Amino acid sequence: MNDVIYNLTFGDPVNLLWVGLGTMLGILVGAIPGLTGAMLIALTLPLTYAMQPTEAMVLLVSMYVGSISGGLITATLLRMPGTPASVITTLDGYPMARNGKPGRALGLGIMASFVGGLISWGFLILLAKPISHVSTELGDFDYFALVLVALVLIASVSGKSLAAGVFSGLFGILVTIPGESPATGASRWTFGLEQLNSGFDLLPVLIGLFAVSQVIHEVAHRSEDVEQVSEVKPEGILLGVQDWCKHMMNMVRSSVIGTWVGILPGIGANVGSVMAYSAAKSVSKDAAAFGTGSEEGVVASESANNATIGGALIPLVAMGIPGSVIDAILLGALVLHGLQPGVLLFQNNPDVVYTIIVTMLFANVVMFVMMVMSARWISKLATIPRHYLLPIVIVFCVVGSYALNNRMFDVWVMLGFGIVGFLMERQKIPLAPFVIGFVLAPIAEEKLGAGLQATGGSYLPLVTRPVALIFVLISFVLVVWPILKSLKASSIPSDTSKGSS
Amino acid sequence: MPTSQLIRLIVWIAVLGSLIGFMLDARSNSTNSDYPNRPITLIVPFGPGGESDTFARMIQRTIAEHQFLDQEVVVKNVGGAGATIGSGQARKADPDGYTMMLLHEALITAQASGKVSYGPESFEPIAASGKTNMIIAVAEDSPYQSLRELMEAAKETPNELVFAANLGAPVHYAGLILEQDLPGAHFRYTQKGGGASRFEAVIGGHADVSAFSLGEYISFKDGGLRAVAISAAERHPQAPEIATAVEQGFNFVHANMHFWWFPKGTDADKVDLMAEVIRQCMATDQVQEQLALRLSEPFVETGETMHDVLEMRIGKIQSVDATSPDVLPNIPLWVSLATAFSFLYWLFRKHRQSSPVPEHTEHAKSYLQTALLFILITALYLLALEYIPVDFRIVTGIYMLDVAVLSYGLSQKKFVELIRSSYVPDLIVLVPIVVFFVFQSFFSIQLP
Repeated sequence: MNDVIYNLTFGDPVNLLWVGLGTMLGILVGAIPGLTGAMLIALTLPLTYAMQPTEAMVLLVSMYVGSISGGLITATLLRMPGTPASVITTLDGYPMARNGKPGRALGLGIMASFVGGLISWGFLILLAKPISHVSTELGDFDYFALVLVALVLIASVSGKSLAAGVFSGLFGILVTIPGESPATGASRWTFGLEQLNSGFDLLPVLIGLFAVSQVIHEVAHRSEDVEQVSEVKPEGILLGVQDWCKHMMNMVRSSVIGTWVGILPGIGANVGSVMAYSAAKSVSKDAAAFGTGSEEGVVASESANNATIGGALIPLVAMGIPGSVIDAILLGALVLHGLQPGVLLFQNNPDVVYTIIVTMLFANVVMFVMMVMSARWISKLATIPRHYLLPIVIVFCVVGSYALNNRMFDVWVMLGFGIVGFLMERQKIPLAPFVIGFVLAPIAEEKLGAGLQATGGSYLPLVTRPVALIFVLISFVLVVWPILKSLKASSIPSDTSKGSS
Repeated sequence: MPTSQLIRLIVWIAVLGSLIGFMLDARSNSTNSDYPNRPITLIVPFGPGGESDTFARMIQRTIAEHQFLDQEVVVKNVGGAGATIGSGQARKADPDGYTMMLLHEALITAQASGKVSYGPESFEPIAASGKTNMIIAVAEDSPYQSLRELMEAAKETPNELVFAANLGAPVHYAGLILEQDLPGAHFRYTQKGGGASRFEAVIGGHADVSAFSLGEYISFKDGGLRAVAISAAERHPQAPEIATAVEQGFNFVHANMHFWWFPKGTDADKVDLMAEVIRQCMATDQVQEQLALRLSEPFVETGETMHDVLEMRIGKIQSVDATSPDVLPNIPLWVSLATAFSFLYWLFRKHRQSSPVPEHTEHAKSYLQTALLFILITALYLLALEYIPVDFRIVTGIYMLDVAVLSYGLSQKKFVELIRSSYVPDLIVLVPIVVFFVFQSFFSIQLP
């Protein structure tokens, strides 16, 4: 491994150039909605033909790291999730930026991304072999129970009104119903629209809900009555030691969650950040601040989504199983270069495996340096007058939604959910539960469906499999707890009057 | 002249210059009237990076490098719903030879499983290419040593053995076709999706058996997978230890192929021309090398023989019944009931809590009006993009100006101010051009 580090740095400085180039392109693509890391890597793949296999992996893995990190820029400053993985960051990052702290919001996000990357890298290097088998041990019912826990956490991110939060979450689940059933592949609720066969795509819905609804709101606000973001304070991007210490617990917890979610195939970076965010909120001393510009929220989301990279690489490195879409493309890249991916990759081509591992570390460092150095200029985006910014943002929303699947239908979906989001915010219905329901419901349905198909309709494994049972019990407690709490609260008259104000 | 003005002037001149350059370029391209005289769009009904996408881009690159066509082929990924979104788009495209699709047997299985109403009959097949056999595999420690033993067990205890499938896709049909040769044998199919998930299900003991492509099998086999049969008449030279299904008494001879399609009604000479191009591509060393790495044969079939291959596959797939016993709860019903209930509860709570005086001020009214106006303008913009064949850059520029005016203020004085003394005019010209360039030229995404 030392050889690889040596090769990457002094032996062949060209590799460092690839790390820099890959990370930079990744960050750019991650920041622009509609352009995804998967897209960039798939398009770069043919260009790596002429390169050495290790060089190609250096470039592609750097792009992977960059693309997951770049999303936080637009999510924080423009409320435009550049990738689905960064949507949770908008919940608190954007309010922070609006409150005059765009630099600090970015700084926290960058720090959390860096630490998340490092911690999951630690797991990757130390535990790849032992823990990679976990993912095959878990059955469908275990997955279902795990996702169930995250789903019922909707109640905990509801904000002030539990009724509004639960409605929002269920509405998010309802939106996943049209299209292809994740359990059987059959179409349902398409209303005769062929375009609806694949349902509502993740990114157009999220861009609509967050970015378009915000643009509608801002356009409608005449300039005279809009509070401009105050001067960006130059300090705040490079955080002090006390900030690192203050958020360390949160970062470690979120990174561990992100890593584990990354290991499990089929659930990606967006789920990782959802789960870490919910967990951070449920243990936070200042849970009420979540959704209004909580630093902990930004940190949880960003450390978790970067941690999924290392997690997803674990099954790839140890067993040749892709843990995410991008990993699947990386495997394809190995084939292009004449290497046989699979369980024996580690034995047969240790240089490639070490290159992947070392590149992930380097790319994280490069990402950190690049983002910190440019954050000061980038954060000025928040102070650009609206009549410059809004037309650009909306055009990127349109083009980004279109580019995802090359069809106008997705753009209409984006506009539709822009209106939905606008109305929900006017009615003070929180968006966070919607996102959680929308992201998690298809996974829950798929796993439950696969489990029931395998047992012939029996739910018994939910209580006979120990892992499933534990998660079912946790979710049961999580459902009952807030109900008991709100019942207790409403029995005290002074609390009711407070809630109604 | 101040520096900023000078920079502005230079930028404008550069932009106009390059625009004129583009137009001249476009004109010189369109003088040639022979087919093809403009780029051909190749629809790949899957996301970037998958097997079909990689294959499509390999052929695209080969065509460009060897100049088999005067024009380039542009890959357009239209993923979703088991390839039916992409196939639907290709079906509706003009049959002018400028839209082509690459899609394997999912086109046939999607129709057979009732996902869509159309199938191969709605297209003109061009060629079949690249053949990969399938492998039936169990876990290493599985008690079944051969396909025969496995199928006998599936007959003895029907609907007990779990088959990890991708429902409605060729993998699912592999199991169904096997069942046909031993009446009474039935698997219990469970939705697992891609090869990696099916592999995990088998080695994790969550499923008893699954089907894989030969390439998938080779990369997974050291992880605890054991093949019981290959779907071929003869043993594969690179995996001679695997017994064929035919040897074991099952008429399961099958290879996944990539089929190339034009929309129905495309001229026969265009079909022939493209078939020849694909044939040439498959014959290049480069393609042969790449296919060998994936253990697929550089097979290519056009014309009559291709139609025969296709007919046989359609017959085989349509002869089996893909419906599984319905064991799932009615999730749409439960979710809609719960949503309706929570909505009513929320309304009830809100009604009880809402302040008696609703805010109907002048301000709120103008806020809503502007919001509505913005939504209307955006909808018009999208309609224009979708239905009117004007340049993306022009429509987008106009739309951006509208949005800027709306957000700046609707009076005439403000409008003049916006045009005269802000950067809005620069933005509405530059941004569409830059966006167009980045997406179209760099990511080769064809904007509407």
